[in-house]
Amino acid sequence: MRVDVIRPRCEGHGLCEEVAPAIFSLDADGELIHAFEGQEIPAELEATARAAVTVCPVAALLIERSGQ
Amino acid sequence: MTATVPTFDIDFFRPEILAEQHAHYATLRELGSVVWMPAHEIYAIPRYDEVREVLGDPETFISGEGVGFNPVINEVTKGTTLASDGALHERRRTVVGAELRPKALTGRREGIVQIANDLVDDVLARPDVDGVRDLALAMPMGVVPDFLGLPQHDRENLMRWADAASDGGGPAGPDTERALGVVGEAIPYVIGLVENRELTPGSLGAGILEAADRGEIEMDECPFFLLDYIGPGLDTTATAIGHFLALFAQHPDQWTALRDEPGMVTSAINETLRFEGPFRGFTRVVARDAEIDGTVVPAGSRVWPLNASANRDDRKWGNGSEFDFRRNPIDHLAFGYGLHGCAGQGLARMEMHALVHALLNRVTRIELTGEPVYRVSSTMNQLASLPLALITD
Repeated sequence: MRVDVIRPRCEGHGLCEEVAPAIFSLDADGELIHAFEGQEIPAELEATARAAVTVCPVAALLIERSGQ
Repeated sequence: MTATVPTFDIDFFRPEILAEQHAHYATLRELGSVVWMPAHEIYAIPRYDEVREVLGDPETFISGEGVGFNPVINEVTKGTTLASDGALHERRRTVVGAELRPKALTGRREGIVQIANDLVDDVLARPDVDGVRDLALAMPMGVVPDFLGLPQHDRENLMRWADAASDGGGPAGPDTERALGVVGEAIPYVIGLVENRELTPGSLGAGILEAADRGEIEMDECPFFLLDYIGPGLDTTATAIGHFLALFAQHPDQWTALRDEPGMVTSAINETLRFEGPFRGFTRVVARDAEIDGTVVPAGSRVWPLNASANRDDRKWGNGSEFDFRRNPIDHLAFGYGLHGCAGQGLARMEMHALVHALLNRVTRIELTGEPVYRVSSTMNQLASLPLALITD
């Protein structure tokens, strides 16, 4: 499973960081850092990644199944 | 298909019905995931999963035909951030949203904390406190007009205009007409601000004028950008603060517990927003035949995703009708969800945090000294007054 960030939608509300700090963080400029951008999310972090996708208030995170 | 859709034949906007809103939301949720309301010719969407589905699919469930209940408001708001789709919405959202991003707000935190502390100092010196007038309205009024760079004149009208802008979204009828008349007063005000360039240099409002000077937006759009900020920036946050005070007055043990765990303030604010969100829900038009949980909703019909009902759905929350500040319902829908999710939620959270912390530091108990009074509003769930005693011993 991969998670894509739709950059133009991200406004830096930071809720993904709150629930999934191992995957998402905001840098000093408020830009989203995605530790697994363009990569498979490690299996043990998949549930956390799903939670981050759910809490994004502006729907800027999308789950991409492998092979899509 | 329509024959199988459950029906709830009730005029939802009568005052005695609105007073029992949560019971009626529960009835809607029991009836189904899509419920036809003939009185309003609308499909209500009362459960959590489907509300998210509708708000998360802005290509099927569009805002560009308006998000209210009457044709007048749906026509006059066309093209605003709230009531637009696609590229037009994206352009407006980018202009409106840029200065509201949490990153852009960090420099304002200290000032907002100061405003909250001063406000609580003032309130504690008063014998009779109205939680709505003295805290809920005073907090955003202390922050937002300066943030926007608005002049001193007409500030006493801003909250009335903001409330009217919300009520103007209700069903056609005398109450909505009256509200739309009040909104009409705000139009010459914002046009005057732009024509006379009456916005403080360096403010958000002045930034809108500068964007027009640079040709990024049209000058004649500026008044409407200002309205986009004034309306949603004031009565929403005020409403949420009012409910916070009422809920913690009604749950004194939870206030005591929160004082011991100030790290739970975010959770407490989210739970307040979940339990008593300011807005019931904005409507959408179905752009193409859609299926919601197996029910076909035909193109051209209007749907009413009920955020306030979704936020109490036991399917999602287990015990949605219980208030528990430890719940941290981070995916509540009080700010909406998706492309049209509240652009100002970062500022709203910042104001609420500052005020709650200022109260936590000083106030041991929040006590009701009279009955909370609700304002009758078609679109909002809002207190009109909240007599309180703030105990500091």
